[in-house]
Amino acid sequence: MTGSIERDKQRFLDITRQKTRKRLKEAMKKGELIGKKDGKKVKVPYDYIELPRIRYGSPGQGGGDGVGQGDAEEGDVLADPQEGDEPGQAGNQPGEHLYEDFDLSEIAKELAKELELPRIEPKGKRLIYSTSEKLKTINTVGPPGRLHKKRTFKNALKRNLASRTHTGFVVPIRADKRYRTFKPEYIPEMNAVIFYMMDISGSMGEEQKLWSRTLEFWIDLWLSDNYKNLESRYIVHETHAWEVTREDFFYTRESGGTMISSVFKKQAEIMHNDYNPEEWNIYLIYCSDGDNWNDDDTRETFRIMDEHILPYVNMIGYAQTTSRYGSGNFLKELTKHYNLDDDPDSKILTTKIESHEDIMKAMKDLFGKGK
Amino acid sequence: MNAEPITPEIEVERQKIEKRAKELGLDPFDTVFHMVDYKDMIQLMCYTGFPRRINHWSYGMHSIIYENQYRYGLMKVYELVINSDPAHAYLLKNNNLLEQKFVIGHVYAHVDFFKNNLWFKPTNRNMVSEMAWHAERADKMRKMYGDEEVEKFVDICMSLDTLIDPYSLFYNTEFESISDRVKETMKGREQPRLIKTGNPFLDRLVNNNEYRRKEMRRILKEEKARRKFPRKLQKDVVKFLIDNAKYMNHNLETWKVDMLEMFRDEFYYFAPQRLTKIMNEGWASYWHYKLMAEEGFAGNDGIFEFAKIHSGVVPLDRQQPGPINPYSLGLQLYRWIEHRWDTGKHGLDYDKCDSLEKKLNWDTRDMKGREKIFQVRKYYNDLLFLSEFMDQDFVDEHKLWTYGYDEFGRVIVKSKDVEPVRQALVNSIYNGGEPLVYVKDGNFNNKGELLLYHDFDFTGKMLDIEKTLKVMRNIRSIWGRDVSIETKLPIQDKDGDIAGYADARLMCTEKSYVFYIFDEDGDVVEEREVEW
Repeated sequence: MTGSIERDKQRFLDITRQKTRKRLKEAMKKGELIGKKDGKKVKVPYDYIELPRIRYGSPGQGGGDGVGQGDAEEGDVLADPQEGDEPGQAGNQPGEHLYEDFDLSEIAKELAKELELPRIEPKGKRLIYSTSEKLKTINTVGPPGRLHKKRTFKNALKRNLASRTHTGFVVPIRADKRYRTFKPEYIPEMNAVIFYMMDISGSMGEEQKLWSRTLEFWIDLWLSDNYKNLESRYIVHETHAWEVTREDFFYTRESGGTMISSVFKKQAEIMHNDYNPEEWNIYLIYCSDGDNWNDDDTRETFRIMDEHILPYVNMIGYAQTTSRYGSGNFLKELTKHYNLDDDPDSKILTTKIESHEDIMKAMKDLFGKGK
Repeated sequence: MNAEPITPEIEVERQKIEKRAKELGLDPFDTVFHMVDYKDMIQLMCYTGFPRRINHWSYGMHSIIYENQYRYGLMKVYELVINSDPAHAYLLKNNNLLEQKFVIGHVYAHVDFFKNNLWFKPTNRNMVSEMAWHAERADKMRKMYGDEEVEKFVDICMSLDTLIDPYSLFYNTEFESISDRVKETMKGREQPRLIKTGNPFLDRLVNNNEYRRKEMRRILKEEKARRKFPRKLQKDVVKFLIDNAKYMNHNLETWKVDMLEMFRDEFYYFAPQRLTKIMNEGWASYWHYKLMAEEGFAGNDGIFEFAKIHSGVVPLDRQQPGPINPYSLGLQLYRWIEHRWDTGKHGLDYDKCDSLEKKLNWDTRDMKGREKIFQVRKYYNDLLFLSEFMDQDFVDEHKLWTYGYDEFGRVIVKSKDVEPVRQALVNSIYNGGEPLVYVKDGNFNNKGELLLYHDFDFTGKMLDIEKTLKVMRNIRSIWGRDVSIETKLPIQDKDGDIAGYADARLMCTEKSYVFYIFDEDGDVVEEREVEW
């Protein structure tokens, strides 16, 4: 009997989980998740499902009266319309506050449905041995459980017919037996490194920083869930840039001027020191309000990108946030310099974040194309 | 499940209680008591006490709800008892001895009610194995026709459980099916009845053309009336579907009809419990109180704890005004009846008496109260119970009133008179508190469509349209053709308030719902189509 109710419970959870999945996106918008490690659980509220029945509507929609008991006089007001609940309903309904625990990685999977994974190219020398999950090929040896009966019988029949002693009985001998087996596969190791870069200067408000961090947090979560061999580096900058740890990246508060060139300089330095572009797929995600110190610095940035970065990387994603004070013109300059509007194959992808709702859109802009 | 027999300590008490209960007049089935832990108890609750039922996710959902309520201390379970012979009762392991004693008394009263109440007489007393058998068959169907397909159909069946006729338990309802109708039609048209004269000359005079025409008109008229199918409104919609859907929907597999029949059996098994909820719980509460407090099973040291439990189960007089607890209503009414028949406060003499003082001190020392409540337990259901014994004195003494919405949308106390109180209670229990829905026409529009009819005027309450449409969609998938329902929809005035109700027909077609709203002459004034 225990099995019986467990079966029903599992089925219900399967059904409700599919519905709850849709809500995960709402959970994504919450800033408080940011910086949590993978493997942590996220609480997402879920619904009960009611079977439809031909029943009366609630008394509010023209229902009849209820019966109550206690010290009351005719005309006493029991509930105001704002309160909503009619006393007869109280206590019947189960508490609505039930939560389902979801792995962060499950949310990441949900994301993957809408986004395309970056096309990480096989680079590097090592090959990883792996076996496919399905029994794909046939072998002459194997455990009896994986015996391929049809093939075995065919072989036995062939042998039997060829031997001219065919009597109508076909008994397979050892040589006839065929077994299903896993097909060994060699897949090339895919190395990828992602540089998360963020402007933490004074011109970036708290809100803009939150957007940037939310965006980069989800990208981080999603990619690290999909690629086992993925390295992440975090760089922040104001007038100068420095590398930080993951925790620091999501929590650092700083202020100061903005020199965008500094962060790319730092990135190029780390990249050329630690990662050989021949062996690594390199991705850059950069968030800023685009309000650079001066035009000279913008030109300097482009010079660095042209010389040291663009030839070696797979993609540069740039998300520009908009604050109350407007948005900087780095995005405009970037678009002009690389002629992005007319060049759909460019390695540089840009997006704009104007509100919290745009984060999902920004992820689509950056990763929807599968670069 | 790890059901254990009850401990020797409780067994001693059980024997004492059973003996005393039988001396006092209770007549229960033999009852098997089991001890279970709370997890098993929750499982049993989800399956309404049965070890096995047809698997469905909704039971799983309830188990999650109950588990959570239990964890947060919102729910206290004492017992579960199944109507069968012998009866099975489940006790919770970690309740203390006093609680167990109180529960055993409670259970014996329930079992007595199951055995003796007239409305339980036709129920299947072997439902435990019947349900397990149903589950087994459903599992077999799952194997044969696929999990998803069967689950979808179980969803449909479970949404039909309000569409039976609980009051039909006693009259042998013979339902006409389409095949009977076809046989009848095959016989051909009835010949005009001629008057026998025995004389050819007279014959031509008496059975003249005018007479023959008159006869023909009568025959055609009767035929037209007979063409209605079903002839009367049929309350048991599920039975109607079982009997006739296979003729209308040739894609309806046989296993689906089987499944419907299994579910109908289960619906009817639970129907009497819905009809006697107030009486049944009231009866059990009456007896556990009698045994524990008056017969002294609680003991001197346990009486306070018992009082606490008792008032938790049946709170008698509420401090805060609020909705009534039907269980305590039952208990109060039994006591009221007992008091009236003990003192003779009933009958013509008492009703005719004008003097208030005389009425108050009325006491004929009849002492027929016990006898009367046993009689009530045997022959009544909730509907009769409330409508016969609830009077103005009772309503006054127990401070009952009706509440409802006023024109500002506030919930107010409306009336303290017995009539509205009784009406509101009857509305909430007649037909188990569910809307009255009938099959009106099985050949609607002469296209084999199904027409249901909701008796709106009986309670004046509106259907939950959204859910009704979903159920109609389910019925449509069984019937195979369009399904309509006649009901009433509110007319809104300029301010958006409800000005009145208009006749309406909701139709469920293959891809959409169609709403027809009629005016008083029966003409369509509004037609609206909504996609599913």
